[in-house]
Amino acid sequence: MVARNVALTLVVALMMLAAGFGVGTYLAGGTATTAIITEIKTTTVVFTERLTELTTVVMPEARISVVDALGREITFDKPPTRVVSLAPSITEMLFALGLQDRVVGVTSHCNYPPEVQQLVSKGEIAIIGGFWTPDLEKIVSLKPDLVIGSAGTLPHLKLKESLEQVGIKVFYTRAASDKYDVYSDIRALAKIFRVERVAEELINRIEADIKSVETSIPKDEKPKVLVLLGPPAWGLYSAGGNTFMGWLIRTAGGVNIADKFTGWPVLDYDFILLHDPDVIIISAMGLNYTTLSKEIGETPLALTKAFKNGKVYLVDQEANDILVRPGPRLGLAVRMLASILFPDIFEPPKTPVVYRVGEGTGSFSSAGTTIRLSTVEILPRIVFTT
Amino acid sequence: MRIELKNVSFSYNSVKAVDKVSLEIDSGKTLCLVGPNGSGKTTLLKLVASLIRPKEGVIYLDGKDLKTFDINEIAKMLSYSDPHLPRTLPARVIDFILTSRYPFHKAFQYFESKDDLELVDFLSRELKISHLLDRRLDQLSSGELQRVVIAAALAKKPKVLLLDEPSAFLDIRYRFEVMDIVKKYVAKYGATSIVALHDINIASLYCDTVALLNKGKIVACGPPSDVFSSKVVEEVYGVKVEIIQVGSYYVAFPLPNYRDRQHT
Amino acid sequence: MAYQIARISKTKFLLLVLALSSLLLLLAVVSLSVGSSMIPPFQALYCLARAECSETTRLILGLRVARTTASILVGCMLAVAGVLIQGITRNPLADPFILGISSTALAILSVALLVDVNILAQRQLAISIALGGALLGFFMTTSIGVLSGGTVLSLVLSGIAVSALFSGVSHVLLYMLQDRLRHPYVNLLMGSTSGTLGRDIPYLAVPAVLSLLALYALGIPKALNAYLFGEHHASQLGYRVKLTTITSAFIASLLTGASVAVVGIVGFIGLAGPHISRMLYGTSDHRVTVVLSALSGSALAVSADIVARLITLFSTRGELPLGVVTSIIGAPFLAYLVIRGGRS
Repeated sequence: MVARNVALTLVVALMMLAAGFGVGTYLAGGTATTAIITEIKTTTVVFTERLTELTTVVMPEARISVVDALGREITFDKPPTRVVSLAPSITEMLFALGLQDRVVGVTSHCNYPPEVQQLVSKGEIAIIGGFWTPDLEKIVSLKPDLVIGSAGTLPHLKLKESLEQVGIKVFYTRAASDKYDVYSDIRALAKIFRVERVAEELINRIEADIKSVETSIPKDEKPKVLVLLGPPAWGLYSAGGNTFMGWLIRTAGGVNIADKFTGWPVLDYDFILLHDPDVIIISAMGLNYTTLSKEIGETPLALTKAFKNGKVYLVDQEANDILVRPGPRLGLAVRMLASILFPDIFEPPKTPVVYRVGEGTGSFSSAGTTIRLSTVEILPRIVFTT
Repeated sequence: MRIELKNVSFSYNSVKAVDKVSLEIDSGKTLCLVGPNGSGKTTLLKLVASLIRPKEGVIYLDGKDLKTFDINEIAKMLSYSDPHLPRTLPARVIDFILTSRYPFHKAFQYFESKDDLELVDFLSRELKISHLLDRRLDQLSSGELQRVVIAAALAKKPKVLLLDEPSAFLDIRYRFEVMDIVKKYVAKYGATSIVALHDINIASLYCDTVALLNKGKIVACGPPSDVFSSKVVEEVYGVKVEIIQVGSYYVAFPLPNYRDRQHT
Repeated sequence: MAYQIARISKTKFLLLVLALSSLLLLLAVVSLSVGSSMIPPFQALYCLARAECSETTRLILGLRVARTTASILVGCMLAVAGVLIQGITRNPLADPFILGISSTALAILSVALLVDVNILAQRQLAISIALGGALLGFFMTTSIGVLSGGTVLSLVLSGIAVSALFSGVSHVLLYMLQDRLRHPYVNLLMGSTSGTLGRDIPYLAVPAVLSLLALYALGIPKALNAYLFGEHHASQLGYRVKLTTITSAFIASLLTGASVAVVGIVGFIGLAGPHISRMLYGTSDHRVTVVLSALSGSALAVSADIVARLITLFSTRGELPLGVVTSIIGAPFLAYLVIRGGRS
């Protein structure tokens, strides 16, 4: 009997422990981030007889090795000539580095620069599926010598084994959480293709862009920002402090109310009302803004300062692409966000499409009382247009 | 209640289980169905219980076609005990017996009346299962379960009592006691019972009429001593049956064939 | 003897109802006070009763009342659905999702989203579509089940078939949808009450009240009691077995479908609720277990909701899905009951 009691206690304790472990791991922030070590290999430079030529010479025989986001060392005997990009941000990087003639495949989401779509319609670049849904057979049929994917996207990671088996090299960019991640991705890509100088120029341009925004940001005024990915009915998904979006908000002079979280947390209205954001930015994903405005007006989001002051923004299409892609348009993203947060200081950039929900409209009832904010018709105003 | 079967047939898919059976049982009488496995005893019981409908023929209860009875009327009048109780979810003996009182509940009556409980008390004393009432069904021995099943069948106070193998799994004493209770009940309430039995020994002691089934057909029907003494039993079962007189009883004893051969 | 047992059972039932409802009440009050901003329980009650508190507190309490009500209803509905499904299958391992309801709800919702993505921003419409999908799933399962003989086994098998088919279909559809939305789809039906508002409550409350009324008005608990001892036992007691099983399956589908449509898929309650109630009461008298399951399912859901919110306060992630938390809380308790039950 005693033995059974002990056994019973043990079993239940074990289960509690397991449960506790699960919660504990969760609290600790989930999986450990893999350490990324950037190794700089000294490349053996073959000196030619005439030293003067050395500065301009491209060294085709030199072996180049780079370390990708997974910490794998990948060696290239010569710069790849047929490249497949699995993400819009990667495509943007490749084009920004002037490597468009090497790109043979992109995703259906790759729409920038406009040149991509032209090349696709001309049949010079093939579509290998969507960002989440790359088609392995399509990729292989293009006979690439390098496929570049994102380490933060599961369907990309799943392709690794199969591609390597058929002898195709795969390079993973980081799941970027700030500009430095983007810079190291750009530098790594530049190293593979030996266009380091272009990369440095690009990075300097971005950096200058960010600097110019940073110096104009008011130091005393820090608006609280809520970012929502998709409409509230989808679930209150926000962006944590360690995400690219979180970094953008910080850099553009805002305070992300979900900053203490990591990844893409689910919030509740309770939390949102407690932090009462000054600005709400919703990634609209091709939704009808009238419907979305109406939906927002009917939720407790209508009780926030942001809604009352008409500072709910629906970021759609190209504007949305700029915000969510950690790529060469990073500087533009910071500038756009700053122009949303401080419209008096920053000129809106010439990018589509940010809508603003009509000032303080909608109604929301809670605990038996209906709060009518205003009777102004919901007429979203297009703030930025091309 | 007088039960009459006229040319009743039933088949599962294409297999004839009951083939043109005609029977008559008077009020207060017990009919035993005997026969080898698969001879149609259980099917016949289910037909009378109106759990299945005959493909041909008619069953009359007191001269009225069984089909014309309302389902609730039948539920109050007729008890059929299935010895194969599913016991995957836990339930107590008392819960099981009390379900037999459901047909007598008023509309929207949710709990048992005092009378229901008193009846259960009475039956459990008769069948000596009082101590088992709050036990779970899956903790009973097969003999105990058999008595519980019979208690549940009697809890309806049925006019027609249909029992499938009530003596199986019981020890010698309970075999007699259970059959005594059934016989007493039938006589007291003017009910009619049809009992499917394997034990021809018990059948010869307790039944007013025995119907011997083989391959869905009745091959012999009549008083136990007549049926069991006939040649037909030997043909059907492939064993020899001796009728022995013990006191005032005629008891049928099955004997294996080889023993017979040894003697001769 | 029988009289005493019945009396003891009745007392036990009343005591359990009393204990579970007090527990539920206590949990509800805790649920009102726990969240991003903590409101002391007494202040919360005082505020609700007299309205003498700040506007913000009132608003936040209003949100929490909605959320708590939603979790109570979802817990109750799933647990009652679980009792019904376990009753008609006589299988203690069956859960309300066995009839393929959640997969058809998801499939229909994703078809609708493919037709018009804006449905995503119209919660009421999305809820109605998902509920419609759930009921469609029920009708498909039952019609296949009835065509293949109408037994419970054929019902369960056709449920498995419908479920398998539609989870495949919905994954294909969501794959297409995901491509369009540029967001991973995993979130779509993940159970959570975090976005539940007062206006969603009728979608839960109306089916719950209707189902419970229908359940008792049609005498289904008694029919299931009879059915517990075999189909023949039930039909010789005057119950139409197929009608009973299909009605019970329909009510279970309505309950499950409504809760899936409003808060998403919450596992474990439908399985654990009935078990907890049977083990507390000791037998599976459905007249009692329906009530006890409703209460214990609600208590389980509310405590899971509280824990989910507490975890948010201390974690660096957002809210956990409700189904995950119900398993974490419920499993050790269930294990304890199973072991204790096995010993007696």
